[in-house]
Amino acid sequence: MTYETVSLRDYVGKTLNKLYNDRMYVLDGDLSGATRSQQFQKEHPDRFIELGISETSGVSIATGLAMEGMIPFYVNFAIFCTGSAWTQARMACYAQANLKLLATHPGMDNGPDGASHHGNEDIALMRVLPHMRILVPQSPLQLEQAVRSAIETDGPCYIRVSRDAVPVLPETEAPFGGVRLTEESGSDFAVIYEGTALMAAKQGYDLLNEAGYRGRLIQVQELKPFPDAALMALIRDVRGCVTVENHTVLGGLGGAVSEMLAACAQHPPLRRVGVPDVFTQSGPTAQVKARYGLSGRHVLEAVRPLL
Amino acid sequence: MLTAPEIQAKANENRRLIIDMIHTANAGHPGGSLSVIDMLTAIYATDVDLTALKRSRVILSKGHAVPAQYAVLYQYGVLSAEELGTLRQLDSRLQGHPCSHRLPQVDATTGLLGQGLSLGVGMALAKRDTKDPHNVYVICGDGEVNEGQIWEAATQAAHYRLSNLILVIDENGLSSSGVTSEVMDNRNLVRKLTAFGWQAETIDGHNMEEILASLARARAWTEGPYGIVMRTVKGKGVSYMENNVAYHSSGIAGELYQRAVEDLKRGEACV
Repeated sequence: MTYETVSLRDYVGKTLNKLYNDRMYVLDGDLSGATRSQQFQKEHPDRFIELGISETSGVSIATGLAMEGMIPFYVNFAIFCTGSAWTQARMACYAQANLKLLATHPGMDNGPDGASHHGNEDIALMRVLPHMRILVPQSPLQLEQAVRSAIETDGPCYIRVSRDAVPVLPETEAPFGGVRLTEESGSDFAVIYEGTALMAAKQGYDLLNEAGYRGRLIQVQELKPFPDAALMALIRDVRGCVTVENHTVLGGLGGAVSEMLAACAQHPPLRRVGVPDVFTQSGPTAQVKARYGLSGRHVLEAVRPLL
Repeated sequence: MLTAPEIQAKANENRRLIIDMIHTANAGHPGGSLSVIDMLTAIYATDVDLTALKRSRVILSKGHAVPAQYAVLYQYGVLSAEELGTLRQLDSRLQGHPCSHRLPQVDATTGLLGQGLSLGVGMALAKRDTKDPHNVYVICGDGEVNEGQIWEAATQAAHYRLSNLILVIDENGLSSSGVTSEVMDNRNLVRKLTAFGWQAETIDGHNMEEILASLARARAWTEGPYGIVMRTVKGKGVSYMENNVAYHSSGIAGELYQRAVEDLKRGEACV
């Protein structure tokens, strides 16, 4: 199984340029080359604010810009946007400020940098904040839709963008948000994933089909507010389901689906694929993901016993 | 424009409102509210038009002193006397720390110390870029400036030469658990700000003439951000609260309330 792939971070600057309006700012913490916000800096130097290595102040400065009617995108690695500046993001949510956090390098996408830099907790950290929206695109088109949605919707928003390669799948333009049925071959199983885990989810889905099972491959595009009803409608009739996330299995996509299912009298059994409750280590990205729970084989092995 | 004695009279009225609010709520931070109120009253009296959408902003980064801000908002008709009595009660706009989505006139949601100067940098950048000529005032406590984020923001404000940004540090010498310099020694704040690229000065934060002159210098300064380190007395105006760490956070009940009211009346007589 090989796919044409794309790293969504390569579209960060281009997308912000394309959707630029005169209320927008991009703020950087000395990583504009890695996050590709540099492309925005080149086109809009007067609306690009370099803040140096200063995540806490950076997120609060973005909040201050929002309070004056601007639309600030604070662009940084996932761990810095959400972890280093969590109380700052929390205060922005409390203020219902129009703060946009755009994160690259989620999960284990930068394998070689090791556990310190792996953003395996960002969804969990953002999910617990009232008013925060969480959008996870999986293609350049979806990234554009997510950024447009963030611009058009007042309030705090977190956009999670892959650095590692994700497969390019055929897509038709559909509204962004909630859940999206990526592929469907039957109703034995459901593979539910967030966009940055598309590679493992797709490979797992294909392996299950090769093994003779038929099911659905479902992207959750909006992790908050969580699209309970739309997702439930897609998994109600399957014999088993699995969540696949480039993230700890605690508190993220798997956590959200668990919370949803716990409120249902009857539901299919759920398994969660992702990083178990451990710190990771350095290595080539694909090897780190395979070691720490995120691969097509993990998906296959999680679902097969349920069928 | 009001004269210094007129503004001082307003500040003294605000002292009484602060004491009344905290007495009714039986909780709050009287010491730091009373130390900052002269400066806060002066800023609003000289540079803030609360009826304008585009206006100078006042970020009370030491958000626990918010009864001082509520007192000012009452004076300008934003809050009613009845509403002042709802401080810290369920469904009140008068939260224990400033909450801008409930009460937009407080300008910023604060409470977690150390974040306000960064908010001010963001607001000042926006005002600079949109040619909004108003100023941004950030008021911090001297204990608060132990927070590292303050010094990140101080670096950034100087880097961008934000001459529309004015930082006031209320140096009342006491934080929650004791004498500030003993809890964590952070004296020499003017020298520190200067080293970070700011223009900065020390004033007596209870001398209205000095306060007004200092604010005028800060607004006129065009080279970058301006810091005013004001020496104040925590609990200023209420004899038993002055320089008494017990009144950092405390209700004011019974006889103590009566004594506070009498002390404040005596103080007004002096003006």
